[in-house]
Amino acid sequence: MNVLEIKDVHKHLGTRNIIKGISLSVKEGEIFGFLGPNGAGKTTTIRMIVGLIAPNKGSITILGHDIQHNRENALKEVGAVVENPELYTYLTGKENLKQLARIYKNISDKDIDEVVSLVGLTDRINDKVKKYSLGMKQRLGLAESLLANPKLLILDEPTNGLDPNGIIEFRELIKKIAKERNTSIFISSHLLSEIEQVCDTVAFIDKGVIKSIESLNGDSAQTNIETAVLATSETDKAVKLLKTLNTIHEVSLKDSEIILQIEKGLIPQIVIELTKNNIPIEEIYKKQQGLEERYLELVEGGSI
Amino acid sequence: MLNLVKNELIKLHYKRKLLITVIVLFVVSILICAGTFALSKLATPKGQIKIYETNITNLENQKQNNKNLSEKDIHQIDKQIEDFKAQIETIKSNANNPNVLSWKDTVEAKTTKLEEQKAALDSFKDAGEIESINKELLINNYLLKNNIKPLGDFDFTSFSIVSIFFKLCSILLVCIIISIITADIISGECTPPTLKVLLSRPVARWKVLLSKFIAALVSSLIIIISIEVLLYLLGGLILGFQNMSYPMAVGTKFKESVIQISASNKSFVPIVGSTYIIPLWLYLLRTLSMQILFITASVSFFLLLSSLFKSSTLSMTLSIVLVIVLDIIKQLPFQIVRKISSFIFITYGNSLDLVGSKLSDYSLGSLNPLQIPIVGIIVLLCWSIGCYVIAHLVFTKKDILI
Repeated sequence: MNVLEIKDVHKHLGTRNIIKGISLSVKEGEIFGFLGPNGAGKTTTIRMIVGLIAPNKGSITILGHDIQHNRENALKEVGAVVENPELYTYLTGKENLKQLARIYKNISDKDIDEVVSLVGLTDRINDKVKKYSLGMKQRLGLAESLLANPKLLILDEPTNGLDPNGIIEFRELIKKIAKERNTSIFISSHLLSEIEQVCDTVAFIDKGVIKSIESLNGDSAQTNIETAVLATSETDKAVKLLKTLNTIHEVSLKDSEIILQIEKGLIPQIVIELTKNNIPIEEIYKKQQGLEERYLELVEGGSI
Repeated sequence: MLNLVKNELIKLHYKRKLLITVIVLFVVSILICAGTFALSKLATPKGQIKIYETNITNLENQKQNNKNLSEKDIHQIDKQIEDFKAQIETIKSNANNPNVLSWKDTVEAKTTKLEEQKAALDSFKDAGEIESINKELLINNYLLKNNIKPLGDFDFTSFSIVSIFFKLCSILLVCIIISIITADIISGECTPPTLKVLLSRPVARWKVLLSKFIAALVSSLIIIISIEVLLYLLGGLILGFQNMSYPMAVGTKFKESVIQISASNKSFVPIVGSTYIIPLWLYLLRTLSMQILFITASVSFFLLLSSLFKSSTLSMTLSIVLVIVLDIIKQLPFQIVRKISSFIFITYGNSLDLVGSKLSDYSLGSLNPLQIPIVGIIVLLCWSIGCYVIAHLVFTKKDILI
């Protein structure tokens, strides 16, 4: 069974059509990226998934329960942070968690302590939230969404406002949660790198329409060609040489850098060839398979 | 559900709302106690003599300092001073010779006098006066029958303190206390939008609304009523407790008068014989029930305002402004305003006077004949239910876009 199933959902607010018929599904244990520019309808979709707003048409089912008709069962195993983590600033971190724990019937103090240590807030959990830094608030928000040990975790722009260190920590945490608890994670973002590094599947959304849903691991496994970028002071000589090699499918120039389409795993060979011919290598690196290009292609002219 | 109510109470507690309201009410209560105590001191013979003596000194000063006074003026001042001196003498002699008459004889004498007055009145033209004499007669009879000593106009007791509290605080202060607790209970969760977190959890929205209503109602009731009980006890300790069987007149009904005084405003007269007597404890019990109903209606109304707006400042300001405006306009002398105000919950805020039908008493500045307890109960119930139902519809249906 799919953890989340969205079928032909439409939503208009006033006269504006925000969501124009989207469908997608999230499997168990999958990290699903929801990528699109600002204003594409990402947050609106998430609000519909967690029952904050009602779709005008279509259905959303979580673990087999329709959110419209069986809200309480549908949300029982969902944890979500919609936009920013919203917290009662006049309460302590602990009381914020307790407020939510009281809504569920089976969350003990031990469960609370566990999520607190998972997100690394044990030292400051008894402080008032107004004394927290943004990063701490993000972590407390994550703790809130993990409280009920959800089967589906929904994170809306989760690294907004985090420093680079925080982003790396956060990424590790997400991967750990998906692996250890077999939780499906639905992450919305406008940041390509973020999605690229943690997601198994990505859906591109723009102007309320899903342009494409693609598997990130699958793509690179299917083809046996990868892209490499080479920088050298002797560009002409290098291009001449590379064109003679039959492991190289394509050579092109872009901003004085050479872009190579080569067979997988053959970059070291090329380095040897270049050195043999006394071509100095300033830099050579593997380029991740074109999520960025794909994004720009699908979301034509959209602001990132 | 109980857990949700607990959540709301914890939030109210940590927002310092409960503390603020308790402090405000407590300070006001203390001031009322002190004020009543001062009044009761003035009402003693000693206090009255002091007032007259001050008056005499003032007049004498004026006579000496003001050179422009005519002969006539001086004569009048002298006369006034003599009057005051005579009053002082009377008070002194009364105090020295304890009343020859027992209170029973006084009451009986009064009764006879009232009966005579009543007989002289025209039952058609003077229904109002007849009914107020009836009231006094009923009370006098009850006092005699149950052997309860009547209280004079200047005898202050625990009950007087409570009446003063109701007169001064029962509408504005009580409503403001309730609005501090209730008016931002939903809108306050829009900035920062914590409501989002609450409503994306596996709990029905109607339960969230109901828990907020219950939490606000319970805290308002506990705070207001416990302060009133405290005030009653404090008043009793300082001024003495009033006999719980003391007679109270209730139940006066009104009808349109046959004779109209002005063309624009209808006049109303009491229905002769509709008043009856209940003991004080029952009167207080009815007042308490009526006030619980009023508090429920107010909580319901402020909850509705809170569900309509996304800004807590707006919903809070609006609720306080509305209370003040409604409280003012109900006193305007227009027929249409009077009619409308009969259907507004604020009008029934003074539960103590409402129970005694005093709100509609023509002699108290001709308010509205509709303002009798039964109408009050119906209007307050309608507001409680109506506002809650609208809040429910708004809250359970709306898209949360904050």
